[in-house]
Amino acid sequence: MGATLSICDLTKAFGQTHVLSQISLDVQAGSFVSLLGPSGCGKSTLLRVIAGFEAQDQGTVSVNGHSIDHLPPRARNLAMVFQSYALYPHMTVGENISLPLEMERLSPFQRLPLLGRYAPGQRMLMADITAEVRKVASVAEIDHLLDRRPAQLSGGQRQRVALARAMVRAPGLFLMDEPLSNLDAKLRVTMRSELVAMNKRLDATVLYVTHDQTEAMTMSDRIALMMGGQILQYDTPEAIYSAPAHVDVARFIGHPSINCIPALNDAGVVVAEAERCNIRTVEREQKLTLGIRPEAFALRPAPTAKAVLGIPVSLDRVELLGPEVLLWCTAKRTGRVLVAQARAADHRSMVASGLLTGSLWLEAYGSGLHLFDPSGKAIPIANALSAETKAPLVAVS
Amino acid sequence: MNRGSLKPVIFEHAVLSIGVVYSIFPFFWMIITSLRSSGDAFNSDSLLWPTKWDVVYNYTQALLTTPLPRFLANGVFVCGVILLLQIATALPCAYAIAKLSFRGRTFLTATVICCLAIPFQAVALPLFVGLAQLDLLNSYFALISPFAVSVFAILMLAQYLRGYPDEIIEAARLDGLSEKGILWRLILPASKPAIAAFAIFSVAAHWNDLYWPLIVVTEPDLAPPTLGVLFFRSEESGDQTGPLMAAATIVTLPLVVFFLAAQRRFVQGITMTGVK
Repeated sequence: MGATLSICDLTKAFGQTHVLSQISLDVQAGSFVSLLGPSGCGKSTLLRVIAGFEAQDQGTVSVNGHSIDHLPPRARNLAMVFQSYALYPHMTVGENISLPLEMERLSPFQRLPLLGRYAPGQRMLMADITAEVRKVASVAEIDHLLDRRPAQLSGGQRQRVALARAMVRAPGLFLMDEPLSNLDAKLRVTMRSELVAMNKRLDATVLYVTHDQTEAMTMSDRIALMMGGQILQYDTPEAIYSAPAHVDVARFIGHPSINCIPALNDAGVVVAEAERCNIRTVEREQKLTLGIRPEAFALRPAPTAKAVLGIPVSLDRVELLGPEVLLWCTAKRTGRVLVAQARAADHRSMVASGLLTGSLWLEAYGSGLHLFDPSGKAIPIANALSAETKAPLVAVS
Repeated sequence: MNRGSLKPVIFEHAVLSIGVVYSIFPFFWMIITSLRSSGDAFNSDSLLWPTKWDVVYNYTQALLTTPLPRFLANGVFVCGVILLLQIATALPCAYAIAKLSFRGRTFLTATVICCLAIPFQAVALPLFVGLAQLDLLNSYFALISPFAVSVFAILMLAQYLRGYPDEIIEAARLDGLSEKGILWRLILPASKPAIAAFAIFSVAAHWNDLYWPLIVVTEPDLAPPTLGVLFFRSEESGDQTGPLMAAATIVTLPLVVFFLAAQRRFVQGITMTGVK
């Protein structure tokens, strides 16, 4: 059964450096939650505090509603998969996996080398443990490797052993610290789906630390995006992408990253790139940031009426990604570099019909636009008129 | 190697050869003297190669007229117990210094390093007086106890353990191992190369030690080999060089065998390769 995890006002500093400030997070039983952020944002530290390797300065960590702050790591009923796998180098795979069970079920006397096997009841317990190790090993598809040592295994096999060792105790909560970062790209894709399958099959709660947005987006039920020791947004992958709560979230998620254009607030009308846009806001703040996803931009040979924003640009470079192309442009008035994403087929037909030779406009329509106030917080767009309303383009200043 | 560098190579080898002869000659002389009759040893005609062999007499004299086997057994026992105690005390201490964070760790480490600077001769007299007061002179305890804790072992093992991955220790804590369990099941097996390297230092030092046994032991039954040979020399007159050198050879042999056996581990431990 998965455990619920709840973190309340967690603060941690190493000397003068604040690594975690006022972190609060609720993880539902059985869900897969990613801690996503650039390196040094405190996500690994948060995981280590939950595991009990570091003590927090303030705040509480609770599992199933009970505080675990006073418990040593082994009493917290959680398992961790480390980035380096942390297998015991001189033990066989089988011994690696059975160690947590031996520690849990055998008395100190029954664990003694040589003598232990003559302790009453030890043989039966060990038989149970061996059977469970075999079961977990066959689930992780490493049952043929039980007699090998970690040094004799490939990276992917070590990863599976580390997973099996974490699974064997059937803990309520799995902590994973970038477990896929040492694997090659192909294996990483396979392991992604296997981890998600494991999460569903065991009905276990997983807290997964990563700096890779693809991993977080593809695997998670929810993502906690961390920066500078704070959680900027805790939401579903869709919401993190389509409704970023902070300009740093918008910048971190998405590849290529979002176009950020400084904008002015002229009595409720947004002015960007010296254009009055058909975007309104009720905010009073003067200096805003307008974020536009690359796929929200379209390259046009002439301005169209339904656009809420049109920027005259020159096309510098076209990058083919396969089904899509990236169009790297420079705004004519400010020299700002902007990127748009288009379907490769559409781009080809535009090139074929000679539409990309003269002057060009990058246009945005109702969706994929985000406004941020000077502190970076997202603010609502009051009436970005959708394409259907066919509002006239506001006059060029 | 090209021809231009041949001359320096010859020069280097010449210099090295002098070093080899310098360090091997005493052993060479010891061995050939143990093989020839005692009168032959100081005869200038046969200084480098014996003219009269007397192998059987020398070695039977050495083994039968003195309690040499007893001396050897003493040496094995004393060195073995010293080594075991040193590892038993140094490993937990080295683990704590290298891997645990606790108040006063820096101070403890500095203290241990300072202890390295204290020569044994400086504490020999207080130790002797203490043992005499407790009426423990002439005992195995007197031979062993001053060496039960080795500062050198602590520092060497701590340095070695610093390279051990923290994540493995953390995984073990999560899996339910106590610090004692970590020490016994993870740190001890991982430290084998370093322990082997240290064992050579320790055994060589204590097998060859004459200073301390000379101070605390007067009873021949307790004498380790070095002291035993000394007893032997004073009992027999100076013309018994043949049997004396035979005894010295027998005393040296176990150390050579031990070194050859541990040599590979020794090199591993000294180069301090990681545990990966």
